[in-house]
Parts: sequence; C-alpha cells; structure tokens
Amino acid sequence: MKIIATVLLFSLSCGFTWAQKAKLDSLDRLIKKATTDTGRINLLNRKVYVLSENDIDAALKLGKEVIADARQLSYEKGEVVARTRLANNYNMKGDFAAARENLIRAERLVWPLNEQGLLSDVYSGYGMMYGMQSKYDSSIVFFDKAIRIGQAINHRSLSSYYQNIAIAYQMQSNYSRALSYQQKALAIAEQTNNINSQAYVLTNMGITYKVLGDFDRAQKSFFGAIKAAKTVDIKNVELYAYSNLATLFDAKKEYDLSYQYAVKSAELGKQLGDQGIEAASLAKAALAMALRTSVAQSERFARAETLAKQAIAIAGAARQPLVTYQVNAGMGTLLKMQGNCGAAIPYFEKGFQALTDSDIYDEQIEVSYQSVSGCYEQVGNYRRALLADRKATAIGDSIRNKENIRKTTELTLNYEFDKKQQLVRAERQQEAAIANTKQMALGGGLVLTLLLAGVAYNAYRSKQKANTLLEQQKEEIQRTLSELRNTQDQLVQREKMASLGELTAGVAHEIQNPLNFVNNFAELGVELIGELEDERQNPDRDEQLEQELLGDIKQNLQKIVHHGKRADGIVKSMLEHSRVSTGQKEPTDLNALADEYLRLAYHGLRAKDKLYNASLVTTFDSSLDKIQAIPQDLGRVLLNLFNNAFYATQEKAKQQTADYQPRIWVSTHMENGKAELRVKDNGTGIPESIVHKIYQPFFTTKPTGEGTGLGLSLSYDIVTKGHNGEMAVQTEANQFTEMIVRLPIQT
Amino acid sequence: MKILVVDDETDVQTLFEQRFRREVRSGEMQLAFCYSGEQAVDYLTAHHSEIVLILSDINMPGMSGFELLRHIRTTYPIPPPTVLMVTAYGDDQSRQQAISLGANDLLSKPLDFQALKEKLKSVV
Repeated sequence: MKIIATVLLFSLSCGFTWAQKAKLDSLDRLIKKATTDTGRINLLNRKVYVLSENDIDAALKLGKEVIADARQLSYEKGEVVARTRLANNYNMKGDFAAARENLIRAERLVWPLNEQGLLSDVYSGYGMMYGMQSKYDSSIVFFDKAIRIGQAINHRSLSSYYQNIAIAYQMQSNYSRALSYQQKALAIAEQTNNINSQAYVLTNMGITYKVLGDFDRAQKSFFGAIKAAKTVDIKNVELYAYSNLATLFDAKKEYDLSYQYAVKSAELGKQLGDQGIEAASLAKAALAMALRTSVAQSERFARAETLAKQAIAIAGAARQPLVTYQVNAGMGTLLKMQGNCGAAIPYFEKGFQALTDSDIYDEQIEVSYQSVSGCYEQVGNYRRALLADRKATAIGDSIRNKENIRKTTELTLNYEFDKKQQLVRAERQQEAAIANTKQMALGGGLVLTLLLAGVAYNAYRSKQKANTLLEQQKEEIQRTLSELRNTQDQLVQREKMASLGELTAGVAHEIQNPLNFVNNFAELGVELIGELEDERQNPDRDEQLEQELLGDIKQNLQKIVHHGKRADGIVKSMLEHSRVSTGQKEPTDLNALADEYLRLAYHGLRAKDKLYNASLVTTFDSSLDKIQAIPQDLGRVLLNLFNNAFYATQEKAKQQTADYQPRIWVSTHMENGKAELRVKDNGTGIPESIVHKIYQPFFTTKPTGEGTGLGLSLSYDIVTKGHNGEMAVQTEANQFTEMIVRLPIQT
Repeated sequence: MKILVVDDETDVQTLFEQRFRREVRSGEMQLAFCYSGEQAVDYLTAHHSEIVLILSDINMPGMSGFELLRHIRTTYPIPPPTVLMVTAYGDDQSRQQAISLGANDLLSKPLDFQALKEKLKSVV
C-alpha cells in the first residue's frame, strides 16, 4: 500500500507537467551549463521535482545534496524549495516525521524571506502530510492557508491546491465542497490551457459525480478526461476513465456501452502491460455481454464464457487475490445466470479462496456469497447454503457497521443541499465507488493510474481507521460488560442483605418469645424448689405436694430446654439465610420452612409498621413428602413471596378505609406428584400491563431506593433453575395476587 | 374469678398455671385457655357468663387479638368482661388502637406477673 500512497501524493502535488524523460535530459544539460551557483541549485530543485515522479529514492538523495549545497551558499530560498520537495518525497515514502521536520525548518527559513509563493508551498506540504495520514481536518486547514495566499498572488500551483483540498473533502464525504474546488481547479486548468491537469481534474470530477449518483455529469467528465488524456498522451488516465465508464454504464443498465468500455479498458490494460486490470476488465466485459439484449441469446453466453475464461487465464498470471476473486466470481455468476449452479459453485469457491488471506470485504463479495448460497440451495446442499448466507450477512453487517462508524467520525458534514437525502445516497454509492477503486487499485505499480491509487489508498486508510475504531469500541463494550457484571453481583448481594435486614426484626421478635419462656420457667423453677425445701422442713410433709412440685420442676426444665432449642433454631436459620448457599440439596420440610419464614416475614414487617396487622391463614398439607431442596435458597424464595404479599396488603391498607382487613393465605398440597405452595394476598394485585414483567431483573413497583427489583427475579431463578420447578401468578388488580410455586419431590 | 387467656403459644398455659398456682389452689382464681381468636369466640359463646376477664395476645395467626376485641365489644351484652390486651409491640399507636376498640388496658411482653397480679386485683 505504501507504494500506491507514494504515487498518490505525487499526483496531489502535481499542478503542471511536462514530458519527463526529455525534461530530465535537457535539465541535465542545463545544469552542466549553469553559470551561477543559485541558478544551478534552482535547476537541481527542478530535477528533484521531475525525479520524484519516477524515482523517489533518487529524488530523496538528490534533495539532501541540494539542501547541503544551498546551506553552504546560504541560499535560503533554494533551501526552502529543496526542503519542501524533500518533505513531499518523505510523505510519499510514508516517513511523516522526516517530512514534518523538513517542513518546520522550511517554514522557519521562509518567514524572513517574505516569499509568499514559497510559504504557500510549505503550507501545501503540511496539507499533504496530514492528508496522507487521513487527518483531513488538519489537511484542510493548511490547504486553506495555501489557497488564500495562492489566490492573492495568483500562484501557478493554485490549481493543485484546489485539487488537493477537494480530495480531502471527498474523503470526508463532503462531495459538494469537493466538487466546487474541482470546478475551480478545472477553471484554472482551462484558463492556462493545461490539458494534462484538465485530464486529472475531470477524472476526479467524474468520480465525484458518480459517487453522487449524477451519472450524466459523471459520464461527461470521463469523456472530457479521455479527450484531454488522448491529447497529451497520458494513457493511465485514459485507462482509468474507460474502466470507470464500464462500471458507470453497468450501473445504468446500459450493457452494450458497459461492454464496449470494459473491452477498451482491457485492451489498453494489455497495451500497458497491466494484467490485473486487463483480467478484471475482461470479467466485467463478460458480465456485460451476458446481459446485452442486442446480442442473440444463443450467442450471449457463449461469448461471455469465452471472455470469462480469458479473464481467468490472464488473472492467473497477474496473481492478485482480488482479481482472481473477480474473474472466478464473474464466471460463477455467468454459469448461475444460465441455471448451471453445479458448475458455478467451484468457481465461486475458488474466488473466495483467493480472498482467504486478504482483508477485503465489500458489497460485491457480499452479493457473491448470496449468489453461491442460492446455488447451494438449488443443488440441495442446505448446510452450505446456510453457511454462505450467514457469511453474506456477516459481510453485509460488517460493511454497514464500518460505514456507521465512519459516518460518526467524519467531521463537518455540512452539505450545501439536502443533507439527509445526500447522506443516504452518498453512503450507498461511496461503497460502490470504493469497491470499484479497490478493484482497479490492484493494477498496482507505476502503470496504475495515479488518481485511482489515491482513492484506493484513502479507502484503505479510512478502513484502517474504522477498524481501529471498531477495536476501541469492542474494548469499551467489554469493559462496560465487566463493570455491569460487578454491579450485578453487588446488587444480588444487596438484595440478600436487604432481605436479611427484613429478617432481623422478625428474628428478634421470634427469639423474644422463647426467651421469655426460658426466663419465666427458670424463675418458676427456683420458686418451686424453694417451696419444695419449705415442705421438706415441714414436720408434717405432704408427699403428694412434694411429688407435684418435683413434677413441675421437671416439666419446667423440659420447657427451658425446649424453648432454648427453639431460639437456637431461629438463630441458626438466620445464619443459614445470610450464609452463601452451599448448593447442597437435602430433604426439606416445606411446611415447616414456610411456617418459619411466614412468621419471620410477618414480625419483620410488624417491627417497621406497628399498626399493620394481617390475618394469616395457613393450610398445610401434613401428608406432604419432604422435598429435595436447598433450604437457604428456598427460604429466600418464601421470604420474598411473603414480603411481597405483606407489602401489597400494606399498600392497599393505606388507600382503603378501616374496613379493609389484610389477609394472607399460605397453603401447601400435593399436585401431580409435585409439592405446590400457594401464597395469596388480598392486596393491591398486579395490573395486567406489568404482570409479564414481574420476573424481570430490576423491575420494581416500589419507590426508588426501596426495592432492588431482584427479589422475584432471584426467586424465579432459584425455583426454575435451582430446583427444576415452576412459578406462576394469578392476579386481579386491586383484588388479589396468588403466587404458585411447584417443586418436584425429587429434583 | 374466671380468667380466659388467649394466646397461640400453648406453653402460656403452663406458665400461667404455675404463676398463679397459689391463687388457683386456693380457688381464688380459675383459668381457661384458648389458642386462637376463633377458639376464644366459640368458648365465650358457650361460657360468656362465667368469664370476668379476658387476657388476649394481639398477634395471632388467623383472627387477631384486635378482631377478637372488636367482636367482644360489638356482640356482648352489658356488662362486658374486662379485656386486657397483651402485645410485644407496646407502643403508643397500638395502645391507642386497643383503647379505641374498647380494651381496658394494654400490657406489653414480657409480662411482669407481679404487676399483673396487682392489676387483676384492682380491675376486679
């Protein structure tokens, strides 16, 4: 790509031209005859300029020598010119640091000289340097500076400044701006009767019009370019114009003309020894031929196939992946058109294979994959058909994705006419232009047309830019994802802690009851023992009373043990709830678990809302088998269901008159070999509009900050994923809600 | 004096029997126990003339103490028995609600039996 870039920038800097070889010879003669040192340096600088068209390394070498000479002579003007040209050559080499250094030194030297023409050339150098690096905003700033000076002093390079800035605008998709500068460049070229420059400008304008979908103007421009190119005998511009016309007429569905220009392009390509472009043009001609209605149908395909075969043979020598792909896909398309899918497939596959190691994806390739998918379908290989279709979709997505990214990064898209419409149109057609130019770009080397290379290079740069952006976006998304995961973990933890907080109040209350019994029975025990001692000292002991007292003491001690264990159990279950679940399933008494958590939930709520009072109706099926479950997890589900039920009745109590009596029904029973638990409340109910959302994570109807929105979501996961069970809801707004959990006995 | 104790905790019976064993033994006091509001309603329907004092817990599954109280105050003939409510949440709001529903007093848990005895003497 660097070689192509080199060629491109030279074309950018080229405002006028002359026959190079002859010029070099005559320059050498003049240099020999030079009578003054400054005159000799001026001539050497011209030689550098001419050399850079053919031999960058030689130009760089000579440029450095000229700088040394000029410095020795303290000939600043000569040094400025030499450094500016050296910078341009470095740009072509892709050594932007060196280019920049030379430009900075040239700029410093030029200020005291008050040479406006030299200054504008330096600015133009900066513009190219930035343009080469796809930094089009900066590039435009410097070309603008150059243009202002150029206009003031009527600089001979003004036309080239216009052409350069137009390219920058074109790369930013600002086609109207690009076009207006191309028109200015053309006007100068016409005024100065610079045919060579006209040829280049017209070709560029043709591309712009084509991208804009203005096929008529595009056609006129290409025709003008061909005429000019013929006049001054620049074959590469002519070739480039023919190739573009072939594509243009194909887009216009004028296949006769498309065929003619493709053939011309192939012939000229052959003449110039460019096998790549020759093969690609032949493939284009083959496809156009197949679609020519002016040719008898019987003949069409035979002639098209001959052309396609020729194309394949020549492409083999060219050994360029994109060309190999184009010719093979062309043959495949031809065969498919004739309904010969079986024969078409190997060609398509060969074409795709050529692209394996390349990074080229465009709409053409997308279409080819679609075609081959159709072929596979027709021959009954649905698996391959699907694969190809997926590939087509992926390429399509990737193209459009990149397109989107590029769209957002491109700055200052201020169109002068209907913005929206143009944007849509430009996007679609720029894609086609890039596809076309890429295909042409593979002609490569010196023979390849300069402008084509420019567009291809810039397309490549912008693609790289888009790739980098994609990469950055991907990283960003991954970072965001991991942040989200962390947040999610934290939220789950918070939900656990929140339900633990609700538990605490309930637990405190639940512990208080057994503790009261322990204290009371212990106190009574002491009292009873005192009575017993008194009785024993009584001379007339009542054996029966002593026996009774002993019995009571024994009973009290049993009660103390019982309530002590009860408190112990409550503390244990709280610890179990806060503990990370072991994930171990064990035989679990659903009735006991439900009863325990119902109490905890109720007392938890009572601790917060002292006025709240609900009737709890429990109907536990005592014949229920123990189920295989993780008690901590199931407890969390129960607690959540109860809390929701209480909350719903609590909310309704706030709205209703004193007549309202909150009620919670909890029942268990066996249903089709499953343990079923129902929790029903006569609370606010769930409106139909949101009932489908209740299991969604983070969905909550509670005021902000009160609910995590994870309760039911976690419960749902625990029941369905953790226990292979089901969860269902029956509800009527403002009447009731009934949550139903079904769990298999063995999971 | 016959006292009805209503509480869903069955051990309350043992506790009261022991705490008031002397009064029971001397025949000064009779104790009856119900373990839910509903049971208490049934009991009162059968024995309403006997009971002079009801001691009821508020937080019970099913019919709560307040419901029982409302039931007693709306269906019983004059003179209604004395009703003392017992709660773990002895705050002002509960107290006001209990009084407004016709309770004679609200006692908070854990019960201080010495104070309860004096209260019983003063109430009856």
